[in-house]
Amino acid sequence: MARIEQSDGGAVVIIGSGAGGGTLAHELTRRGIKVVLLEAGQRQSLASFSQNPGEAFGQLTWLDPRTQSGDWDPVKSYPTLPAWICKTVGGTTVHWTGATPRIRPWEIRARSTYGDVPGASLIDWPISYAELKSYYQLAERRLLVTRRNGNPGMPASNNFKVMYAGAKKVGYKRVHTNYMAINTRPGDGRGFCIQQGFCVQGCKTGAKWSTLYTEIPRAEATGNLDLRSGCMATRIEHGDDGRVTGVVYRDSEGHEQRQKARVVCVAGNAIETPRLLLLSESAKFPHGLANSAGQVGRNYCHHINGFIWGTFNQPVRFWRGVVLGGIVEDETVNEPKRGFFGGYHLELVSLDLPTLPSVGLPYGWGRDFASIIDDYRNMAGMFINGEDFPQANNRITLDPKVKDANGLPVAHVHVDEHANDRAMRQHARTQGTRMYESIGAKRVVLSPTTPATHNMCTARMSANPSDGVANAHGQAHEVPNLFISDGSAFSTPGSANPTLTIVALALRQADYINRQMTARNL
Amino acid sequence: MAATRTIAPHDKLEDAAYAIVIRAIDAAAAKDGSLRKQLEEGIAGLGAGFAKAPESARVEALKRVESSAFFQNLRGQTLLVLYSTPMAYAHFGYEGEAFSKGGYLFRGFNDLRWLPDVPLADGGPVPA
Ligand SMILES: Cc1cc2nc3c(=O)[nH]c(=O)nc-3n(C[C@H](O)[C@H](O)[C@H](O)COP(=O)(O)OP(=O)(O)OC[C@H]3O[C@@H](n4cnc5c(N)ncnc54)[C@H](O)[C@@H]3O)c2cc1C
Ligand code: SF4
Repeated sequence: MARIEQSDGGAVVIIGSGAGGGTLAHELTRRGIKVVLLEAGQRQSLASFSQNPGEAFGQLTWLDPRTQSGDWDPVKSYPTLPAWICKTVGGTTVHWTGATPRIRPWEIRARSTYGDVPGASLIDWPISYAELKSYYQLAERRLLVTRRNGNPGMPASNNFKVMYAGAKKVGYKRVHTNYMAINTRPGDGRGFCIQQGFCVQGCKTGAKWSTLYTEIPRAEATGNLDLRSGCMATRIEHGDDGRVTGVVYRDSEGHEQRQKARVVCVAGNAIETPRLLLLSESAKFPHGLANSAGQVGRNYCHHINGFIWGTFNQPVRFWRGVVLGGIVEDETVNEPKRGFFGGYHLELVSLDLPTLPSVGLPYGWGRDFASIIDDYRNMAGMFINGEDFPQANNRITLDPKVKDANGLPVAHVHVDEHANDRAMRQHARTQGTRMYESIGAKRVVLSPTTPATHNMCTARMSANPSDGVANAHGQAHEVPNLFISDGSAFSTPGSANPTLTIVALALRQADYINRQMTARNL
Repeated sequence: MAATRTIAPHDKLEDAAYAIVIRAIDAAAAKDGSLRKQLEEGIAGLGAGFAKAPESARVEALKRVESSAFFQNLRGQTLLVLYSTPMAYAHFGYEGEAFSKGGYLFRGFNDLRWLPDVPLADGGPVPA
């Protein structure tokens, strides 16, 4: 690993080591570019991942305070946890469950496809699908995604057998074990999936792709990466010309440090990324860095989500097997006659016993609640993942009262649901319920919306600088050497789990930064 | 004990599991004065006869305080600790961590027989 001087103004500083930041760090360093990677969390390893669900949650999760408001369910059911994100080297790719579908062509033209929907702040992506597709193909090769490039599919688990039978009964056709960034056989230095079902606790075989044990060690091996874990960026500084010059951060002892930079890339996940830009206000940028258009933090999207649990008269033992290994793609279409725009996936899911009662059934207690857990053995599960609509007032702001351990205002998340969001969720719940009932479910239980695991669009790419924060390369409209390198840059959320798209965009951005640096434009 | 059994009533789950919950709550309260105060006041608020009251009356009493920080805390702790106990794992048939045993790949991840098998094209080969 390289040691880069804090006074070295030639380095690219990347903030956050997850899907976006970790990938970008590898892509730049392998091209010979020096990178300082600041990561607020600590480093774990395959050996140190705890196999106790409660302990693993504490080991990996971002538990610094956040506040929230609005009419969405987490305000009531998880007041202190609007979103479920990691704070560790590798970011949320340590927790993630590996599902890697693509955003659809018509979804990246959301404004053109859905029209002028009242209340929604839809735009089209400033990228062509043909170009995005070529980066999807690269990303799928990099992550060794199942069912792509000749890779075999995940074998079907018990939970999937239930999903499959129900889906076929109600007439669905595109049902399979999902596109997964999880090895079914050893490859690329990663192990293979032994179907133990602890994907969220950290995959101890390394079958599941995570920047923690793929991109980051490879970037280190180039000799061009200086990874600083336990280091929280608190401010991005700029010069008189408005270009950024460096990053102020707290090191693992809490001391303030300052790293000079040629280019700064922010990849703190879509809540911390806008927070850091807002914290970086100055005389030149009084409303926050790159925020003259007032777009930083707005249009927060989080996907329509929710669990659907079915209990049966016979055992399923859904905890055995890879967590998200199943998908129904038939509803991923835009058919307004269903009563809403856009589409959704139904994906397989299971939760371990300690986690199910608090995450999967959050309002419950008492006899009825207990009777659901009594059927734990006989339970099957799926998860809704649908496109939600961006709205200008669904946004991340700085909380005026609550401060973190460094004395800085925490992120405040505001979400009011759009009528389209509610209509889509209702449709998905009805369809999921029909699937389980069609094969004799004893009971179907629906969960409210859970804390967001997918966070997007809060510093979005836009063709028009007044509609967003960054251009088609994630480069801030106002600050040429500042980049948005995570899901914040999505123009709209689409219906696909976001990580494959984050990786594809990071691969694309690395090409661009490299070209621009070579041409001395950066 | 009565409160935790009212929150998560599994009649056949042994007292030992619920005792672990109470020990965990006591330990947390011993470390945190404001939590202790909240618990003591909350429990006093349920009334002296709570523990001996029939279940319907206990449910009513807890419903009245359902939105309080006291109840939210009690419920959260009860669920978190109870369903992590070895007694609960055994009772509900949950097999837990499997890495140390080689996962479920050869230990029943696909042993469900009451529904048809999935065609290979929609699933994938089980590694040998
Ligand atoms: C339980 C769970 C399951 C999931 N499953 C899937 C799935 O199956 N498929 C899918 O596509 N997606 C899934 N996701 C979502 C996926 O994990 C995220 O979309 C992805 O990791 C986001 O990448 P990112 O680069 O934006 O941020 P992250 O991966 O979250 O990384 C951000 C990193 O930045 C660090 N950071 C933040 N602020 C600062 C700062 N100021 N200074 C220094 N460091 C900072 C954080 O500590 C964190 O490590 C899942 C998420 C969860 C929680
Ligand atoms: S089920 Fe597979 S991917 Fe998930 S933790 Fe186990 S080995 Fe890793």
